[in-house]
Amino acid sequence: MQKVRFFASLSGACFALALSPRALAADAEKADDELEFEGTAEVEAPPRDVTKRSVDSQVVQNMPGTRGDALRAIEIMPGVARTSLGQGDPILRGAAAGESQVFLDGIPVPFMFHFGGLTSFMSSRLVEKVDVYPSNFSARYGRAVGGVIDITARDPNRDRLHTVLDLNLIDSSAFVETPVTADLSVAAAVRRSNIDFVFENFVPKDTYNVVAAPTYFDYQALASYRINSATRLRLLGYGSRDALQLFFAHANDDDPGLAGTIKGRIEFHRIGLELSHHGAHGVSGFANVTAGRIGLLQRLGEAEQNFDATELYGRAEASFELHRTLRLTAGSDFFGWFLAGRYHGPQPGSIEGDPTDGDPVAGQRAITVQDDSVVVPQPAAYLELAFRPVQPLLVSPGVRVDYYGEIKDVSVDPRVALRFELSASTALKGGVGYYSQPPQSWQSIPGIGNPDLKHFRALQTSAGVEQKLGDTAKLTAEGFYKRVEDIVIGTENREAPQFLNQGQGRIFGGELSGEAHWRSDGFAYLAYTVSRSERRREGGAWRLFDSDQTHVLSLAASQGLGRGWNVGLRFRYVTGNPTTPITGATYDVRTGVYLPTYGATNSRRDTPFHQLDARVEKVWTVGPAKVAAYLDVQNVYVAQNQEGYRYSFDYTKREAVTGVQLFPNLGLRGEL
Amino acid sequence: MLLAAGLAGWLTFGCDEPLKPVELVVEPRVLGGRVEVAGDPGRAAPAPGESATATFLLAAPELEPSLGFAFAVCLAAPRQGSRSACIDAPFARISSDNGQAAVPSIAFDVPPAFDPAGRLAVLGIICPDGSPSADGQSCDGAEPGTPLALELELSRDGDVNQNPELQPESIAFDGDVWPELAAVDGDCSGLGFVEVAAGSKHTITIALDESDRDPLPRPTKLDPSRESLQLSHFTTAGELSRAFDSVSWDSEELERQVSWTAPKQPGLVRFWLVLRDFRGGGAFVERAACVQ
Repeated sequence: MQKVRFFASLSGACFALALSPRALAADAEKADDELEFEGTAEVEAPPRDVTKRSVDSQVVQNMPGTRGDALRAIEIMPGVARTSLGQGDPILRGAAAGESQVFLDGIPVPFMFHFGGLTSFMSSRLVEKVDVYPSNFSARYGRAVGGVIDITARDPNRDRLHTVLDLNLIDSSAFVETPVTADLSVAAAVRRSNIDFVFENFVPKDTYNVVAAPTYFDYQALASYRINSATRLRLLGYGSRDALQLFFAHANDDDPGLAGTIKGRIEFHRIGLELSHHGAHGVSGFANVTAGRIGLLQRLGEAEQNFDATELYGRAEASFELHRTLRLTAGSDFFGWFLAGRYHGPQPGSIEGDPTDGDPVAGQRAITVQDDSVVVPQPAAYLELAFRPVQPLLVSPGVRVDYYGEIKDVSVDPRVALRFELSASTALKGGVGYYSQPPQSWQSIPGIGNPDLKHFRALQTSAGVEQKLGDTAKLTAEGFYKRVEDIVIGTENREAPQFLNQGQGRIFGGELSGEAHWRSDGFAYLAYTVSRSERRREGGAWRLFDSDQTHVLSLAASQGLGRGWNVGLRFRYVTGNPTTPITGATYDVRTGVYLPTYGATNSRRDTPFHQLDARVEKVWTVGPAKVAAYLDVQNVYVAQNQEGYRYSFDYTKREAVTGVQLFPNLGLRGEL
Repeated sequence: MLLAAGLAGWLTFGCDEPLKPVELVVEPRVLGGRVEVAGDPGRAAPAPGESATATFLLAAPELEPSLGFAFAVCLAAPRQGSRSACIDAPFARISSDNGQAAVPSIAFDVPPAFDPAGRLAVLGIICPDGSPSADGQSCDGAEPGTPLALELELSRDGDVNQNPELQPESIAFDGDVWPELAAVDGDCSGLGFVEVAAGSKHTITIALDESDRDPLPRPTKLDPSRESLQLSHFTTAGELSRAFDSVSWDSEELERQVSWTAPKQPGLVRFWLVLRDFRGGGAFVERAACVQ
């Protein structure tokens, strides 16, 4: 790890280094050293979270099957389930999509990927690292009963101007970074999809008229100003927009509810300011505030969802060394949405475990809700201690208090993490704690939801061992158990009050992982997870979670071959997702469609998923410039991986739907 | 995640052949229904205390399919989901064994005490070549039968659902009014049916009327001000360009066309057109063409 950003240094390197007497001495000596602020760390410090897994930019760039996408590279980590197209939210240790949070520099972001999984919302060129906390994360994070993914944006390089242009079948992007003064450096990245070109040239046009082909773009701009050797000011602006519009001249034969305009747009634009200080004597802190706008429009025939919101986020944290064995961290954060919106469409049901979500649109009755003054204020405060009673043992108790203003509810979540270093290369770790999450903001809006909902809560436990193998390799083994209570679920027939805190979950499993890095251009990753995640309605029978995947095995390796060549392979084997069998159908005379009759929820499985991805890259160096050509091929041996079924109109016939076939992505990249 | 669904849908729609063409009737199938209030057949919404009949269209390649059926009528549970259910015991039932009746239907009297704000549910099963079981939930024949459900509104102050209509003169085949004749077995030439050449392509035109779309209460501007309609077309042979057409509440275009390519084999081809208003109102007609 290089240039540790201040926010990260609080959580990792500097924090733990400060607890080491030898490091404390070194810290005092270097208090005014410029390099001290930049935090160049040779050794990753023990995290205050039980499990923190990181992937850095070098690995990201060469990870096969990810197209160099930093966020897609997390799929190589244990505890991260496979998601299929359209289900881009992370599934960490059996937690449902929406039960984990994604942060950029500690600020929550609404989604990770464009179009639910195509490409991440942020240029990988600006990513310092991606930290994944699959469970038992510290009190700094909240509002999630699952896990956390925290993306750290890196400071622009200060040596000279750098530019990168990348053109491939999926999208085109540009990146530039440069020093402005000795203390000010800036960077900017922009990306736009190319899929509208593909759309207009390769997709059959006889079934619909394309009003606006699917497009996405995103941008980031970052300025970093070093006020002095210990204090830094950063300004980060970023945004993203996905849009698509189709027009069906005639009702669809499979679902006559699909007619007319199908239109979707989701975008957000933000700007944030962060002041961070890393002073002498173990005192450090930061404060940031981010404001922006988010908008969503979805139109499906006569159904419409449309909202716009002003977003406001803030976070402040200070850390004090009370004693050479004791550090106190106190912080607060704020999540605020002020939105106006309207909805006309089917009553939404449970986010997870509701097979009727796949019912034909034509068969569903519409509700209408309009509210121009929804306020979602969620302030929180947290406190953490890091106590090292004896040198090998680090005890990190913490507590987090959240207030959920939209439902006038409070949660108090105590947590503790333990780490015992048996030797310089072996550490035992474990943790237990409570984690709370409010309902989705719309689930408590009268008319569509239940304003009497409360937060739901998980008890998370995990324990494991880390073993370093020399300086280049590491093995870890962990086990975990989670119990979730009061999950927000839809009422049986979506009648009032629409949602109740009546869901329960239990998740247990184990993880093995290994990684090795050699030279600067070779790495190998191994990750294996075995787990079981179950849900139930209170008093009902346990059933499998929608994305329960018993076995998740990932292997990846990349190697430089010299003369600018680099090759890599990634293989994944994943148990098939649970599915709900359809046992019959009823003809709905009112709407003219068949409504399926479902068997036991998630009582069957798709066939196992397995896929080999390959990447080859050749770099030519021409003076100060580098030109690279790369080919990233997904599903090299064209595995027919099942992603559910499609059915005849009356549900008497079905056939398996398969996922991505052979998908080569050819690209060119120029770097200066 | 409509965006993602839309993208996935874009990758799917039009790329895969349907497993069974919905517009092709190759076995007995229910295609629609119509409720008529006694003494006022244009009205689909009976008031408490009134009598009504629900009739269902069973289409089949053969002229007189053998069938049994069982229906029950009850006060519908106030569900927001797509499935209908009774909130109370049914107040009307019928069970007809195989061959007892040619047309599946049930007549019922709406209890006078019912709240007009509620809805009625007609639930039952149609059993081609079979009879319904004693509980009316399944069929005793070789075929599993078709469970069906129809939810309809009750007549309310200021909101009375009328059936849409398919007027004979509004249905045209290649621009001419399509005559309504009873289908026949055997040679269809010279019997007055529209006659077409094998493999030839034709246009079916249906002109709907503004009066088919009842006005609706509109609590907010998001709510539609009148009904949307769905027109569907089915045939026993040949290729229809599609099964469904929709007339959105905010559309002013009321004429719909669908093309049909005649089969290579000569004989009588039957067609059914079904119009529904998504509130329990419906209409259906049958036509035929003779392929030479």
